[in-house]
Amino acid sequence: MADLANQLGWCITTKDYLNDLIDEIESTGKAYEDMIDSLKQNGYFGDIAIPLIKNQQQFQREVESLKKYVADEHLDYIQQQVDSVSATLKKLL
Amino acid sequence: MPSFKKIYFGDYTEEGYDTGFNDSKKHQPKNRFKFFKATHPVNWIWNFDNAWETFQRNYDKGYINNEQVEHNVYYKNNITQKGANTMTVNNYAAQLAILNQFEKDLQSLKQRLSTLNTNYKQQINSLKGMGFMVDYTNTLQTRYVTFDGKISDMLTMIDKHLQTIADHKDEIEKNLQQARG
Repeated sequence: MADLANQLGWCITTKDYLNDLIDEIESTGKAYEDMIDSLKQNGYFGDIAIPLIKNQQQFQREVESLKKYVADEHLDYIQQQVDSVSATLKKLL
Repeated sequence: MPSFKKIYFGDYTEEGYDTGFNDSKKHQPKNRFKFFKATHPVNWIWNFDNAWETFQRNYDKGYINNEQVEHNVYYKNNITQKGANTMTVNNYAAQLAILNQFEKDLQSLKQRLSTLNTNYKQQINSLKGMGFMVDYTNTLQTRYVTFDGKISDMLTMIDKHLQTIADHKDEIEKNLQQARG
């Protein structure tokens, strides 16, 4: 019983860390977009801004890819354990 | 006082979001234990998982959304009015301020990614002895290796982007000096 409670606690904490990570990269991805827009409004655009725009696009692709990977390979897998432990606890209680 | 329906389903989406948003607005550090202030004690037992999860997830959303609002205000405040097509000292100064701010954002993200990766690693290392099935721990340990590699790749990419920003700042700085004469 104590083991199961600990496992549930482990899963919840770990999911929190991973969700925090997703939130952080999403938030910075949005800030990247804002930065490019703000530069444009201040006359920084055209050829000179292309390296920054390409970097922003690359960043956005990496954010989407990492989000998908963390959700599919980690969060879903940990959630399976949450479901399994919860079902066992319900039977015991 | 949470409604009966809220207690029954353990849905604290609204309380989580509002608490996170307000904590961020007051520039208070994240505090997950506010859950216990915002929820009915029945949910500390009944439907605890859902209550905890809905509160925490939306606490983070509220916290981050307020930061985003403040961030956008910062950028908007740094946009100066410019005349026609003429680049002014103020334009260059604003461009530098915008790049400086985002440079800080990227450096902050690097730190957070490293911290969260370390936290996850510690969680993985603590798996043994908690009664998980061996197959389960082995799979997670293997997946963590890939995860660590992806975080490392992202940190390398961020370093490259920081270098690009530094190069652009150098150029703008030169233009600013010329504009000032």
